[in-house]
Amino acid sequence: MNHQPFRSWLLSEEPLPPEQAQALNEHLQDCEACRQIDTSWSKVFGLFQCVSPAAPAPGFTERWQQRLIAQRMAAQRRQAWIAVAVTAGTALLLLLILGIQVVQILRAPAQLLLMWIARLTSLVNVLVDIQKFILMVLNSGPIIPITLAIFFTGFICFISVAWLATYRQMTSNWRIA
Amino acid sequence: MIQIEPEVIQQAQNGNQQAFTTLVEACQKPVYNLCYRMLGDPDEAEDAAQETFLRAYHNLRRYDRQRSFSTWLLSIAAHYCIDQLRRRRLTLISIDADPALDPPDLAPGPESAFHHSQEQQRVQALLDTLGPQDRSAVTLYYWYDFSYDEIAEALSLTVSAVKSRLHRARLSMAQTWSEQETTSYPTERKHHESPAF
Repeated sequence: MNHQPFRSWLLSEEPLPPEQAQALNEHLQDCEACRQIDTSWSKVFGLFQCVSPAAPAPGFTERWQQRLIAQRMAAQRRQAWIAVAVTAGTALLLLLILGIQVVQILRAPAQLLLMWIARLTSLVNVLVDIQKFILMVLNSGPIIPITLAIFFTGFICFISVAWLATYRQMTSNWRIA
Repeated sequence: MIQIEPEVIQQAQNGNQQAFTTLVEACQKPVYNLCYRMLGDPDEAEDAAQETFLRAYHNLRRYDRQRSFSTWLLSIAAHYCIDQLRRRRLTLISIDADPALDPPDLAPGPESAFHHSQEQQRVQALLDTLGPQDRSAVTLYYWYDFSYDEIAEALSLTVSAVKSRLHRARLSMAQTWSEQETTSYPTERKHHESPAF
């Protein structure tokens, strides 16, 4: 016998159409196994209905707050450890680089001195080139006409004085009070 | 069902610690009960409930106020318990240690308490026969009056999957109950038999 549809109807908590309900009742009269399932499920359902919900021990909220504080402190400690580790790592790396440099100086001081002199010379060359470029730009003629430059400078001065006066006015004691 | 003022949730989302404490006060029982039904151990349930509130606290900004807060919170609890059960695989129930329970009936007394404790153990034994997802679906359906849609939302399942899981769980629990009855019945009979036999 196929019990599947009857068990589905039996355990369904939705109302059955009349013909299905009748078929189920007829099946239950003949089938001991399905009847047993029906009885057992009724008892389980009854047990679910009568059992009361479990509640936590008193002071749950306080324990939660303590746990939150502990978690925050642990996170802060972890961050502090990470900062210490990064600093220590950086310091070790710098020491290592310094050590290599020292070893190089001790091995061949003359070569290292020549290398640094060459670098300084190239730096001075770059600065000279920049100076030449600026002089060339300045000597090529005024970029802004002289009248416009005077007007612009005057305008900036006026704005600055106005701003200072406004600031003084705004921050005076009677206004703040 | 948990009733929470939307203003309290909004204040908590804005970082008000006191408002979140109010939420913990209001929701601790349902969350703990779900964890207890899922895990079957008071200490583990307490731990899971605490962890649920911590996760909710850290992710409160992600909570969508269009959804039900209780569904969101119980969803966190259910997922955490499912993960715990999957890690544990084997559930060990402490028979001696019962959680603090609400008064079960109108006539408290040693006999009533014993009967109540037995009922709790039977329920827990039935739930323990189910898989984590089925167990959470049953708990949400029978203790929280969640609809199929709400369970589907809370457990990230489809509605048809929820119906199927609930059906399977009911059949499994009925069969377990039936087996327990048939195995315990002969011993009870022997208990009452005459010592002459």
